Amino acid sequence: MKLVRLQKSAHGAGSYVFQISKNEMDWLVATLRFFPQRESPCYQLTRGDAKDLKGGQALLEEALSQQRREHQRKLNKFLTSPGRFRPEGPDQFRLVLPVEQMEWMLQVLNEVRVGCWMKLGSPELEKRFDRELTPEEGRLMATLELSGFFQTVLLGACDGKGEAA
Amino acid sequence: MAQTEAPIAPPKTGEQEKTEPRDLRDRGYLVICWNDPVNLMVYVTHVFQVVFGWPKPRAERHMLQVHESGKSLLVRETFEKAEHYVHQLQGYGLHATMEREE
Repeated sequence: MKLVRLQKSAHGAGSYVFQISKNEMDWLVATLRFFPQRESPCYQLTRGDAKDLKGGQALLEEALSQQRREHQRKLNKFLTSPGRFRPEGPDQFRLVLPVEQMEWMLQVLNEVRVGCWMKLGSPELEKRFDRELTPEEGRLMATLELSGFFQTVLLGACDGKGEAA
Repeated sequence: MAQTEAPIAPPKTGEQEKTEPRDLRDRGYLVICWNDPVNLMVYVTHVFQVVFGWPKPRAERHMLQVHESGKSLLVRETFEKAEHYVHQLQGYGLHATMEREE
């Protein structure tokens, strides 16, 4: 998957145009379908014991639960939109992502990555597992890596990197 | 700066300042980001740029502080703004909290 160009629009901030292979398209869709992975949408609001902060936990949970529902709605629309991936040639597709879709997709991919990591027991990722992974752990690890791959591609595009000559 | 959306504006507190007690108005609340081994460094940098509107070097400096020191104090703000920023950062999946300054 690589950025082809940033397509400017007269009406908005424009769109990112990506070239994506069939395998990458299938992996991206499969990774997105794992959303959501985390049991809770948020961490604690505070690590301290100030009383005025403790009351904000419910508000945080409510806000991020709402955000999660909104992500799910956008994701369903994205996945069911006909022509989202436009065939361009043998094994090649074109994916156009408006700028405003980049942020929620990054958030969704990161949620999947963090959720998989939590389900794996929050391991140190730089160390190898000292035992054989179960099939479920293998699935979680693969999904974690794939979400990181797609995050890196999208972030490179945001940063203007990876644009094809 | 990443070519995505404009920085997410914190709430305006002008009206609230007239009615809320002084301790809630003061910029005595710290927004802290804690390290975890799963968020990508480029992602953390991007989130700081989007949420705070920081230039990339500043965002990277805080990201590296999180990575190397285990945490970074991002901003010192009023209650409302600090809460807003924590909501935004946690919405991106970062482990951010707000603490009252001692």
